[in-house]
Amino acid sequence: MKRYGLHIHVHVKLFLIVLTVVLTAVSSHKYFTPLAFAAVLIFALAQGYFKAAGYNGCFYGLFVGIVFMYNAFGWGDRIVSRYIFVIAANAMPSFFACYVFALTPPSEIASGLNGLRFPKSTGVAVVTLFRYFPTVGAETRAVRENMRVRGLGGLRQYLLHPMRSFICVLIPLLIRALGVAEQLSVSAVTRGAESKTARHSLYEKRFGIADAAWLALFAAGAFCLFYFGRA
Amino acid sequence: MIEFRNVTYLYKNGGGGVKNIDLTVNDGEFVVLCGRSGCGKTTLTRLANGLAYHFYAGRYDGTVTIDGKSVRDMPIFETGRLVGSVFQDPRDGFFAKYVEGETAFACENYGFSPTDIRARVAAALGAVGIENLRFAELKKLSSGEKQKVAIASVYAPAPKIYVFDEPSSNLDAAATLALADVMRALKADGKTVVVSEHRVNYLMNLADKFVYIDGGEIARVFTPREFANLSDAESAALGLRTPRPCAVNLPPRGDSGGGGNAGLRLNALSVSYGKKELISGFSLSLRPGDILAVTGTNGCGKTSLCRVIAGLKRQNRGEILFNGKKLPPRKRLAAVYYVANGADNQLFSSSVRDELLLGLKADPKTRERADAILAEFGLSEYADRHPLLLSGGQKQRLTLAVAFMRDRSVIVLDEPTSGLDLTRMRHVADAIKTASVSGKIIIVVSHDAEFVNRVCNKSVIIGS
Repeated sequence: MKRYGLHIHVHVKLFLIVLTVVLTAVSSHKYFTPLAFAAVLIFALAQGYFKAAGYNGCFYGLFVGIVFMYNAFGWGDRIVSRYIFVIAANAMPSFFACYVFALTPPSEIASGLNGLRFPKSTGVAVVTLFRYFPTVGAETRAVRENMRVRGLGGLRQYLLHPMRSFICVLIPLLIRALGVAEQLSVSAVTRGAESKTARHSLYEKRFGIADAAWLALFAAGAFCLFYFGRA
Repeated sequence: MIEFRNVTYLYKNGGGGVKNIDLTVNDGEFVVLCGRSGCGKTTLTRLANGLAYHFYAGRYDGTVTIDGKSVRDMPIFETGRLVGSVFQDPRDGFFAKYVEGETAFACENYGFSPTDIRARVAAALGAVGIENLRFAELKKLSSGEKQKVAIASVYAPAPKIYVFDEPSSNLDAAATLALADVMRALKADGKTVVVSEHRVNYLMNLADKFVYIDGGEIARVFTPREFANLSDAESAALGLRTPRPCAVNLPPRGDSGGGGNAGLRLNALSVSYGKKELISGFSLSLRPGDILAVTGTNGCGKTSLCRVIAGLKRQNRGEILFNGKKLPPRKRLAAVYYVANGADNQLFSSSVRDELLLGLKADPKTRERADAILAEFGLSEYADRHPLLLSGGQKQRLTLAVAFMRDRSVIVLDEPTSGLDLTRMRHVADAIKTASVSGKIIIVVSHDAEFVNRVCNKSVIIGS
């Protein structure tokens, strides 16, 4: 499906704005977080990230619902502290914004950061980082599968031997992570990642009116939240 | 032209290297570097593409030049414009999500304009023959297709030299031949090609010379005719795989029959990967002592089938019986031992001996058995070493030793000889044969025809 791709600058700024707003909002106005989440949700839907919007929307709804039930039924802290869910709900906009940011093609991110006058090395580092997360996930699954084959996996084993289980996952994961990091670095440097010339992208886009509108909308929203929230 | 003049390079971590290398690779020449595992083939490729000087830590002497320019003095991004590098497993080196983005990666780094990048990407995909995959997601491609994307990615900025490091080690026979076609096209285009390889038979009609490396030094340079005329005994003495074409030459699986219900039986099994059904109505019968080779093209479902047999994944339809009893996945997990491809995420302990004893009752009898298995696999001298400090071949043998230490009736091995030289491949083959004599059923997924012919007694081609 052809997505409505926004300029990378919008992604980067949205990411920074939402992060700032949410971090501030944790101890501030009660509507900050829902508004920030709604902003990212609209942004994700506008770009066609329906699946991501669905998943994140469900999780956010779940956390907000649990907090609501705590308040409605006066559960207090008898089951688990309600603040765990309050913090989870407050953190969701940041996670969601990061998630949307991570869906951007890596070369677009590098090119965008280059356009924002970030050093080239920063762009490559960010690209490598985003490329690295799914790899670590896949490696963790592989290690856990190998533990199951050896009879070391399963809930019972984790409960009976928590330290052994932890080490079994951690050591091979670290070694593989180092191996993958080496391969990625080798692949990048032999393909000119350290070249001094300005980087261009296959997906290079002009900063259009739609991008400017989104950016203005988020900036205005952030300003209002700060201004009225403080009052 | 690449020139190595009295080059010595030794890794600082003590991981081998090369000594006194004098070698000239002329423009348009196709050179194959061959020799035992750890002989220094990969180090030579790293010297050519600058990684040895600018990425790995080592002590060096002598000079490597490309068209008169010293590789040591050139920044690595400059060397990258002259030398395109293709590695053994391209999966770990991909940055983009889609083929188009990955192919464009080097061009983007070198600052080509977006219009130029698009033209170069189209040309590169066309040259490698994967125009149809331009918008495909990388993770959904087969190993052969991924290798082609890796080649297209280094082809796009148009280097004049290509360096391949064991490019066929994860490829099936058809994909290997397709790789040879791409290399042929590069050669016809006047490019200089340097390939470091164990499996050399697919390069016989391409190479202009074979450089045999032993103990880090160039021991001999063969002309293609001299290399082709090596007898099996001579190539084995040099630790080389056969230079002649090699295909799986085994009786089809058939029904082992006899022996009543003893053994493993798959009845009308259907297996999928994600939402795609790869294998349908697959039946098979194996008796104790059988060693079955499972072959087929990359992405045909071999690994998925094995994971189903091992109980790591559910089948869509059909059933699996062992000694006449139907086994659900949980019970299969206890009866079948699966050794995945790639040893690093299968080793958990702090010593080789402990690796064999992990999860077992460490009584004197078990310890004795562990020591006997270590001796059988040639690992006794490393018994107290950390498993992750072993070489690739030793780790591979250790994963097999762990499998044979467990009292499982069925052992499934996924690509057990990937990247192994002749000697190490034969060690693995001998160990498998020994285990089968004790009545275990062994299923081997492999593209390595030489190994399969040596060790297996029946075969099945998935997707045939």
